Amino acid sequence: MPVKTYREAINEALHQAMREDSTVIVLGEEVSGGAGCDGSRDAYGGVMGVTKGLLPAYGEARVIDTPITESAIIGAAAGAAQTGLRPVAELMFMDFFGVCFDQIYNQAAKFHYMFGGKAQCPMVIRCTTGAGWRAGAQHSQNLTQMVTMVPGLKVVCPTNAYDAKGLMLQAIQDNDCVIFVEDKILYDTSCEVPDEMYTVPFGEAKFYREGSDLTIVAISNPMHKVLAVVDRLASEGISCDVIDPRTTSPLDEEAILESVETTGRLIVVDEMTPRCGLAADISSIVAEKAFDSLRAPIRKVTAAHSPVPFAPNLEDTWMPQESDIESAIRDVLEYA
Amino acid sequence: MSTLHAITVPKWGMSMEEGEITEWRVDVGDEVSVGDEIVDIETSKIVNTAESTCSGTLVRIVAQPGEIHKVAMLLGVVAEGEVSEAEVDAFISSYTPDAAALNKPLVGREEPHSTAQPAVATAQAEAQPAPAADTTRALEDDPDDSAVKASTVARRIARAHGINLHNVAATGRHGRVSKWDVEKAAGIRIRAKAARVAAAEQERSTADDSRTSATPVARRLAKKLNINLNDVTPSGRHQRVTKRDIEQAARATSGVEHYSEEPLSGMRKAIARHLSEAKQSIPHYRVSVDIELDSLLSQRSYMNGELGQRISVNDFIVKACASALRQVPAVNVQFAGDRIRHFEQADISVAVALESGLVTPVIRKADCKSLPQIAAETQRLVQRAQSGQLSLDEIRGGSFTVSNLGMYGVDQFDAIINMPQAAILAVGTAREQPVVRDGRILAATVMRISLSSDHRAIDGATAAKFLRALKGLLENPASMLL
Repeated sequence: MPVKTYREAINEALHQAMREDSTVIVLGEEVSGGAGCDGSRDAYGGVMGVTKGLLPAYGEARVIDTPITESAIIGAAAGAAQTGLRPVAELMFMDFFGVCFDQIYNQAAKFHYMFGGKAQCPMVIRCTTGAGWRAGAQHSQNLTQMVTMVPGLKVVCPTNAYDAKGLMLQAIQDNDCVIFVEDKILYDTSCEVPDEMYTVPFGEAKFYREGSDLTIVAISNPMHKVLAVVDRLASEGISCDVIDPRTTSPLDEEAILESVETTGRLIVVDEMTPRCGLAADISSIVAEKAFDSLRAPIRKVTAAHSPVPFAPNLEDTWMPQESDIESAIRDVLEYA
Repeated sequence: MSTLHAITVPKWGMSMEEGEITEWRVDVGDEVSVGDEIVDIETSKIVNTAESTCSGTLVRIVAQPGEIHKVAMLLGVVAEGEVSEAEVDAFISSYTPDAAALNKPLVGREEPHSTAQPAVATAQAEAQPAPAADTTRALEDDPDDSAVKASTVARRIARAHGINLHNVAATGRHGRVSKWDVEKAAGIRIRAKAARVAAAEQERSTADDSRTSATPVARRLAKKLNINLNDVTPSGRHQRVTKRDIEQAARATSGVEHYSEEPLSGMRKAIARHLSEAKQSIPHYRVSVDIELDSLLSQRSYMNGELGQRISVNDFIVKACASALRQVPAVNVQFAGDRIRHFEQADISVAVALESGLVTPVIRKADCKSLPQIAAETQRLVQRAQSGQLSLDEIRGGSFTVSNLGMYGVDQFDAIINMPQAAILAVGTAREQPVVRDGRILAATVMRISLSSDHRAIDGATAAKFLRALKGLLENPASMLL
């Protein structure tokens, strides 16, 4: 099976979706063109190059460059979705959601509900997230928790290229507004990705490792750090269930609860801030529904509760690192 | 100036500690007067209705149906005059249960006769070991069951299976025998379920289950237990098979841990508690004797035939016990700590088995009643028991208990004393047996009875005397007229 990067996988999904369905359109800042592509203008296919090659293939009517105004991008996409199109809007950085949050949580998320099910909002909002890219506090934070808490939105956080393609194709088919959160650090990671179209269902967690001592739920980029630690600790006989929820809304509670019922211990790792975050949310679900199974307190391994620092050494300290994950695992296992 | 009154859990007997709120009969905003029925409360045995002890407007319901509250705890608030929500809140938050009320049974709901103590009341409502599905029909096999209340479909199924509706415990509405009751009696449900299980066992699929939707843990467990996911009924989101489904499937197929659990009902709890206490605290002993019933049976068939009565063998036994208690009053007693309590009349508790447990309604003054009166009273009480309508007054009191398993073909058994009584009679089945009389072997219908007595109050010789009297009465039923 061919190996593709995360970036290529999403690009391929967009290509295939646009080819199969003429109602799919792409819009955003500098999404058209791409240096080196036929018919290119001097742009780079989105800030991360994910939309490269779409313009020459599908034309300006379906690959639309917008002004630098996020509220207009999301407003236009939400409106287009009401007319029967399936827009995929790019928002460059998730940090910019504040500008268009009204369009997201107050409009797109509510059409289906407020019009008594007569309207749908089949749109995807792609955005990038994550620290470690030396991009400063305004381009590095992960705000997935902010959209996860909004009823009516679906939130997808693919961790690898395979899932990214399958989840993107699923997101485009979905009739609700889907926030598609791409971690910047992952764009150049790669794995085997089939050429054909396939979908990964929402709300079904993926088990990266299976074990009996501890359940680790990790979201997005930190998953790769978790895997490195877990594989290292396996030589010490520590066996872990490592769960990637893949979508934070809907969340596969069943998979997490069943795993904790088996292992009796839980660590949640994510790169969001600790208060009111996904780690806190998942911890509370487990504390509420699987309390009797717990043998040790739940541990959250998250970013620090501060803006993302610009100084590289501070940024690294701010992010959950392998050493943090390892010491959490040892603490929880030593507890009982 | 307005006044606020508390509606609390009344104490309907010494051993009553708590009650479950089943239904409010008034709503917030309704006017209530002293004596109005305001709330139904279920104790360990029965549902009783609490009456208002004050007048005014119900301004707040504190306890919702389904909640269990201790005696004297606050259920609601009644106000005389206008009150603000804040005043009601303050009243509720400052309410403390009256310590005296915790120990004092409610006045006015006492035994109608003086000798029985309040302690009898709820203890009586406690358990009694020997279930008698329908004591009035101990040895009766009346083929005409048209008088039994039953649904049409239940009657049809009963006819198809040759089931006498007299022998079916009714759980339907208004004490009717339901389709379910008959099917249960006929074993249809059990057999159908067994057949389903067997069929499922055979159809265990060997098909590929890799595409069956399941949680990762469920899939892992299924692999470990060698269960095909196609054979499992999914209960998860989007019809996913979950870990719980696999565990259930494993239990169903393995045959081990093949059970289900249900929480104890209030009645079952009371039975468990009081029978344990009785068995542990009362020095029981048993005395048994065989009774020849031929004379009684011929008297009974004359009464039921020529005189058109409907008197069961159990009615004779109740009547005979009452008369024997008269003759041997030393058995009509209770052990009460530092004294022995002697009863002046024979109030006979009759054990009635229900689906949910066991109740012992009381035939009062059975020594002063005729056989037809006892028969009618028993029938009435059994019907009320089966439809869950027994009042506290109908089950409290009682100085002696009769428990009859004769209709189940039991030869003999020992019963646990129904506290705080001092004796209980266990009645076995009547059978034709060879007996030796004057050196000759004859056939006779013999029934074995066994008296369990509290040795603290009744000595062995006293118990034997009682049994001798009882035997005399049952073997010469005409002597009951004396």
